[in-house]
Amino acid sequence: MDQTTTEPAPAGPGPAAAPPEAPELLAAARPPVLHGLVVLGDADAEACADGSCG
Amino acid sequence: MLVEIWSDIVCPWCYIGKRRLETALRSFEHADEVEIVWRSFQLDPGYPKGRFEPVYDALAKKFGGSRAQVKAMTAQVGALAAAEGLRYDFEHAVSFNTFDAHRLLHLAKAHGAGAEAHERLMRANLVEGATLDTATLVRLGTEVGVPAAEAQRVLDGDDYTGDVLADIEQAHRYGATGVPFFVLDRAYGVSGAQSADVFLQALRTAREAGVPAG
Repeated sequence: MDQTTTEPAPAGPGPAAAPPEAPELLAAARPPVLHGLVVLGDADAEACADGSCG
Repeated sequence: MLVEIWSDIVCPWCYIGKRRLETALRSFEHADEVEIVWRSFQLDPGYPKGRFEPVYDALAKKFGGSRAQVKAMTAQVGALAAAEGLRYDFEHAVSFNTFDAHRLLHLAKAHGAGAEAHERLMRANLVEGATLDTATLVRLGTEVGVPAAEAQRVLDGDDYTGDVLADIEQAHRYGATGVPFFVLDRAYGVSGAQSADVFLQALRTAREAGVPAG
């Protein structure tokens, strides 16, 4: 048997279940994935769109 | 590591972003592993072909404001460009349909001069205030090693149309709505003219992930 195989975690809360994480912590730990790309950096960085700048 | 950059040569934030990425690469420990590929994007694909008009006038028409208002709009980006060593000349910069310029960039890429051509055309438009008509595109092409006759033939025809459209389509598939747009190893996206620190961190993240370019 492949010892590296990860067994699925048992369903439902159990004695070893981790406490739920705050949504903001999850967001910080997992950058948004959009159209197959992990987006890095400041989402509000300056860019040109639709002829909006010369 | 593959770094693809979607950009339009009339985009002032793209030139700023280029400079900031270059700054990051000077600090990146594995810069020698980085291959940069420029991809085409058109900010205003509906702009009439053959029309050349001052940027201030084009933007004033688009937004319905005065020339003075447009000047104020561009002042901030001009100041940020200056901080990166770029002296934008919005007084003389010209709006035009960039599709043929992108076809020339693909021709230059075929000659191994894609990066040089992109830099040259952005500088001509944003810093030198040049009007990038066919004759000027041919001249700029020769400056980066594209034979004049070949550039003229391509610009007179429709060569590389499919390449330009494929680049734009790929940007849309990624969800990019503006430029500059950077994709590292086809796994990480960086949108906009981020700081050099952000680019450096992105390069390190992609390198550590070791995602092969597909």
